[in-house]
Amino acid sequence: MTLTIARKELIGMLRDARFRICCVVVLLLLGAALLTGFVSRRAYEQQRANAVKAERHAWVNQGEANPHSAAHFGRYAFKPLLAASLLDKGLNSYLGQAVYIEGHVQNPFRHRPAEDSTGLLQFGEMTGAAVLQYLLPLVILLLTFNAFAGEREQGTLRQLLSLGVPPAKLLAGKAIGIVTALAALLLPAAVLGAFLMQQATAGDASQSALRLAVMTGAYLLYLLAFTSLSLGVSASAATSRMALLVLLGFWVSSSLLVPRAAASLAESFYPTPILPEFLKEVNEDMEKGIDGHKPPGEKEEELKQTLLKKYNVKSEKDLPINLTGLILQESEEHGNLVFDKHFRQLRDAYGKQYGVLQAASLVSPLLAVRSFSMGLAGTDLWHHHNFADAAEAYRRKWVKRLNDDMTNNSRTGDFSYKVGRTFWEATEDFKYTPPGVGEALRTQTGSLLLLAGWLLGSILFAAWAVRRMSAIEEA
Amino acid sequence: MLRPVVLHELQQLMRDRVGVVVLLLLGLALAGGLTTGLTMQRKQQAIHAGVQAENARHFQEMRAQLEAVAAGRKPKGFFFANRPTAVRYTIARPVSPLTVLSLGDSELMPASAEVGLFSSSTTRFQNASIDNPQNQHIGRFDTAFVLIYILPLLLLALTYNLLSVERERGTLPLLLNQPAGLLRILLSKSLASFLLLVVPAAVVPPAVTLLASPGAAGHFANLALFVLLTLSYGVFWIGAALLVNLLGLRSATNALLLGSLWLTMVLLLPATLQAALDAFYPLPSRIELISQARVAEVENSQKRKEIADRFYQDHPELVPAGGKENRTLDFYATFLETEKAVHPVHAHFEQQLSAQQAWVRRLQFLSPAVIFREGLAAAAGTHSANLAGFRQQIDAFQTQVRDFVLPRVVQARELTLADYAVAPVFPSGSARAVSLPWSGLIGLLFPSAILIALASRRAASIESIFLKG
Repeated sequence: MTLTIARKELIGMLRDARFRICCVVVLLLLGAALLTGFVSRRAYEQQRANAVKAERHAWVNQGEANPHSAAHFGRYAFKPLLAASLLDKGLNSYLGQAVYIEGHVQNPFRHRPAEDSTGLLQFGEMTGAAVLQYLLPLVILLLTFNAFAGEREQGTLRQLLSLGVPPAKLLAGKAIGIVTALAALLLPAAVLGAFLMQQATAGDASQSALRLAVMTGAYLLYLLAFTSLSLGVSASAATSRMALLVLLGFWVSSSLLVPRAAASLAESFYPTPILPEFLKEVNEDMEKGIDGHKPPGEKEEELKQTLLKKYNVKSEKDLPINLTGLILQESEEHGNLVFDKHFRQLRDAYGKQYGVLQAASLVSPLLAVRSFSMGLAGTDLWHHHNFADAAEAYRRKWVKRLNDDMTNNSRTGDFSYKVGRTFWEATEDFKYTPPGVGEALRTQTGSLLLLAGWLLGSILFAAWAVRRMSAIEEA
Repeated sequence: MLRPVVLHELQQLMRDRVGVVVLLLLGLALAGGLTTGLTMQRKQQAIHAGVQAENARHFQEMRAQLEAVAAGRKPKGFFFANRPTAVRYTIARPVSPLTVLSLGDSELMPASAEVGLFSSSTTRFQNASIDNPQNQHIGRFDTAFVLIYILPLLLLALTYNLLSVERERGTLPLLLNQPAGLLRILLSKSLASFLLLVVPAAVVPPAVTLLASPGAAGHFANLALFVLLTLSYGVFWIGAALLVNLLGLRSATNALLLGSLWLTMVLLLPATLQAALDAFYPLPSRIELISQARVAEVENSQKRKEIADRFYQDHPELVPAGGKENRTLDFYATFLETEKAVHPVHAHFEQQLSAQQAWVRRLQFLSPAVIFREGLAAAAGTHSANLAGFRQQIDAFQTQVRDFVLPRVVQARELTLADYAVAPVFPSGSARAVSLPWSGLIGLLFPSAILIALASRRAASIESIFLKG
């Protein structure tokens, strides 16, 4: 019986002009969004590959220089985009693409694409994720708002129930019908998405495929939750008009109001520091020392005395090593502590703000699916920080090598010491392997649970609503 | 308009709970929007103050170093105050006192600019930020958000069934029997919603701004534009609701049609436009700019001698005194050469971006929401175009600083406190005002007039059918 109902529902939908218009619009938008996502990612990756080569070229060809000058010449790390990012650009426009690696400082990332955009960016970006997160729920809502309320208004609900059709089967049948229609709509898009992902993947294809599969699963949870929620509202609303208004209201609140309000609240509960203050505090800790660590300036004399004693010489000029190199490295080690402390504090603030958004997912399923989707597309804050950490770890190793070379191969006060091409060529380049699906998934367990909770809750709500549904219009 | 109808409708709305609920929602949203706006404005002002303090600290430190040397003491920190290149500035971008009305592009604008002999045109403006990208991506709940997105929704909630409900209740014939005419009655009814929602939405934010933001009082033209834009945006949505009501559809269908129109105007159209612009005028990534600059820098630094010789040939007035080697000047020659090499890439980038912006200016007329956003940002002084004035000031100041520093480099002079006393000071006056986009009003009122004209024709034909029948 359930399948008969499903078939009837499906046929009804396929004959419905509204459904066909929606299909065309959604498919066009989704297709265009996936293609532009693919093209812009490919262009970016090409530019990045060129930039990595040019960067290496510049480093190797910098000419003869003192290792410490090279530390100021610096290097650049450019952030890669995973193939999955063509589905969901996530925070990309608001994240810097490159970081300047140099001695003494851990620089913040630079060049957020949003800085070079028109005002249209504020209306949101057309990505596959946006179509799935914002538009498809609307399509579902449009298809389902009068599923029960409409039948009641036409008087057919009364007939159905008087035939002894159990409400639960009616619900299941309608849900299966709608989901089949949606699946028919989404299948071509999914095939296109999978094809583009496969085209975009250079390395491990299984990682990309897994990411796509998990993302698809999460979107299914999200869309199914919306379907059962809409059916439940349609069953319990007095009229189809009321069902429509309630559902539109829910959509507006879940997609627009709650996310923005939650972000505003998050920032007022846990304010993000401002850059000038942040830099000022970093500088103060650099000069004064932190957590019982003396600043490098005060350690200099101590270090010098120890070395003079160790090598049994009178003046630093007679040391077999370069004291300046050691002092520079000492100041790096101190800087590392300072940067660790301040960047950790900053990320703690971000983390607490994210907690508020997660809590708000209880009233906005969009927030949960949004977080999950960008988390798997590799365009969330966690992936960004993963890259930033790798770049910083590289910086520390790289600076130490330069300082060590200066310490071991030159004498104190000798700034004429220079190294050349062979030394630059022997420098290890920055290499980065993005985290695997498993790790990414682990960071999104919360969002996944929230989505599952939404689905479960909406199914229970729909079941409850059909059981107590009235077959006749209330006067 | 028909005063009794307007008053009756207002009374109905308030009695009916719907009006109260909608008004309450608007009040809450506006309170949230204004609070966020004020918080963000204060934050930007704090950044401004922080940058200024840092600039002042630098010059204080330089003077202190020179004073210490003059007094025969060891200067604090690494001593470089005597070098002409120590005269370098960090200039904070002024914050508009109307930011509370629309954050616009202000969060993405550079907060400061570095000015000095070696300040490169590609990196002069500093965009670094530690704001949470998560929240920026979601978007701010500012006043402009409330007006662009929420105000039309609330307005449509009151007007989507203005006429259809009369038909569904069977009271339409009574309405058509009124001597006043259908359109006038409908206009009067919608005027009630307009007075209830749009007028407070247009007036309250500027009033709050005048009270809470010192410095806002001098910008009456901007505030007037803000009010007029908001009123016109309201007129557009009322016009749309009137026309849809006169199509003779059911209330639920009206809601769907108006909802789709809203969705198209505020979400689909702007995002599709941006995607199209990206396809036709793709912006190269800034990454390309970085790597080109690096390569040019390396190549030029190896030819430093050669570049310097050519530079002195072109600028005999800058040849160092006594033909001695002047490393800073050699560096400057190389720096200029690198600037020249990077210039085409930078110019291409700027060209693509301004092509995109020019198209936005033209295509904004497709969506009232886009016109409204652009207009609000411009009225609030937070539109990216408002940066132009600051850029010009900075460019002029850059020339002034170069003209101060360069001769001292050429003469290989060590700076003294006397030099610092006559060093250029960034003018404290505000930048040249950007002309306000009054044309946005036409962009909003013209489609509204078309909608109302169409509605009037529909109303006339409904009346004639009724009278004949």
